[in-house]
Amino acid sequence: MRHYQLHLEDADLISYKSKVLFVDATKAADVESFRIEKMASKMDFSFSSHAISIPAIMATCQQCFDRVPQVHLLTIRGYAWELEQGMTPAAQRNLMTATEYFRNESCASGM
Amino acid sequence: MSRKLVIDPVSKIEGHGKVIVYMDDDNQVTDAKLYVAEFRGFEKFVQGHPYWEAPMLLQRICGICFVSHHLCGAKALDDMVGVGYSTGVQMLPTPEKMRRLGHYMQQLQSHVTAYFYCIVPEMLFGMDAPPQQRNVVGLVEADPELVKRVVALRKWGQEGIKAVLGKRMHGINSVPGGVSQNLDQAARDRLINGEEGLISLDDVIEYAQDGLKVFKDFHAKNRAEVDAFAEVPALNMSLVNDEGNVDYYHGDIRIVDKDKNIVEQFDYHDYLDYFSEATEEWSYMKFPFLKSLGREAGSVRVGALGRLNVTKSYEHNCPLANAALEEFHDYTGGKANDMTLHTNWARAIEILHSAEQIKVLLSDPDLQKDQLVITPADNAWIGEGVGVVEAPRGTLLHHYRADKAGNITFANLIVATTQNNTVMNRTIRSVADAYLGGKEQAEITEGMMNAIEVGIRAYDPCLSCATHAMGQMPLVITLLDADGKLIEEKIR
Repeated sequence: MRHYQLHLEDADLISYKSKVLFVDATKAADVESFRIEKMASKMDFSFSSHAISIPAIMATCQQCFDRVPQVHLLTIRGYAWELEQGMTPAAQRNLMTATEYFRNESCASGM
Repeated sequence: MSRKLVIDPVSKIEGHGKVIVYMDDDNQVTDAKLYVAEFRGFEKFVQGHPYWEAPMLLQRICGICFVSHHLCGAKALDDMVGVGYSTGVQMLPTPEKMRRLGHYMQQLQSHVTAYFYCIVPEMLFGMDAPPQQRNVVGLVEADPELVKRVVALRKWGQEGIKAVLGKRMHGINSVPGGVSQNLDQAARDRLINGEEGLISLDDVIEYAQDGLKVFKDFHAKNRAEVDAFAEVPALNMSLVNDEGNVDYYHGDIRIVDKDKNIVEQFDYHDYLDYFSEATEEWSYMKFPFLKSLGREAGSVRVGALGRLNVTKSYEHNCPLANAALEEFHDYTGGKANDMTLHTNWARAIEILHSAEQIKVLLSDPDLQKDQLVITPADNAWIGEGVGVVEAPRGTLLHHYRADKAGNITFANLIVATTQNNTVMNRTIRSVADAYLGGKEQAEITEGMMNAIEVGIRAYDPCLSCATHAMGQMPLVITLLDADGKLIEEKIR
């Protein structure tokens, strides 16, 4: 499933799954190439009409549907987002590394 | 010492704006303005593109009402290639009904978003409630069953848009002269009957009735406050069919006054003969007005409240919406309704109307037929077209011209929020008067800040018609004296 942005309806979407992996780009400098982290449910009131956090989606799922899947977030370091620019070579390398890691390691780590 | 009050940015609306309220030495409000400091430039950068790209490009103005922009552009393209309403060509039944169906799907989706995400929390928790509670996430904790229904409604709307337009966002179904696909029986049955994880159409209608009940319950408990909040005069405008009732997809433009007398009615292709647009150096948003009446008297209100003030009734096959409309009309004794917060009542009725109209259209076998496009004759090219639809926020207009090679040379868009510009400014002025005017100590309270925002938000404005984050944005209110010296500032 590819999304333009997260919506409250994603609480419904993930309620049918046992494991969910969110993937997003990040410009956080402390992410060298990519990062995988386990997410925890939290009603953090981050909602706006165009944005809501993953923890708030999970909390909504718990509150409305009485269940919540195991959720991980895969963030991949990006460097530039100008129109027509496409991915930079460094970002492409990070994406490939993350994809490779995810393919090889996800089953073993129980994600 | 004269003062001005700044609310920047206004939150939970589409795009960024700020409000400045000007006060004199006696703490009387002397003026109030909604400043729109964003510039998008879609009309300019679409120039040079092939004409057929316009409905695809320009729908990206908005992430909420993209179907309206897409259909409005498609209607303009129908004209350009010589098979549109300007040449008297009647669109084939299947493509017209597909377009109408997509439009109702989006209206349902857009109104549900505005109503349940932004307005219902304010009704349930009150304007003075903290911002972190006064939104749909606050509702999750307070009433998870209601949120579950909202999520189900939105999901159904998204699935409907995807089935009709081809994509959940920025669909591609409309082409010059028609549509590229019909609705197959399986997709139709899925929307009517639902499936695991997808509610049925009857559920949609039931939930829409629930939404209307939320407003009516709130109104019954807070009648005086709701009715007195920003009652501002304006003419009312909508597309209408031959019976003079609202038609969201096509018709004449009708404008009525307080007594519902027709002030103007005309073919929208002639809009330049009737409308002019004023500009102000402090805002990128223009101020349209009827030439015959001038800028102040000739400004109009569009959107749900404007439409309900213009229309007399709905189609006979929408009994629930018709009953709700009758009750709405009776409340003001047949006069036009100028009460700003009744826009939310009107919006809830339109959710129900959309759901009933969707039911009618989904039952129509024309949707499964194969005649999808009128192919223009070789010499039919006109190169100019105008499209108008009733978008969720009100009357939307696209006007394009292209050269002989088919590249766009001119584009003019008048979006609903622009039509509402003057009446929104009147609303801000009215609210500011009520909360601040003449008081010894003009105090900046959370409730007062939000009251101004509530007034604007009733119009569900799309200030940039763009897609970017807002909602829990920092809200800064600054009191400055006439020399620009800081008197007081509050940040939330």
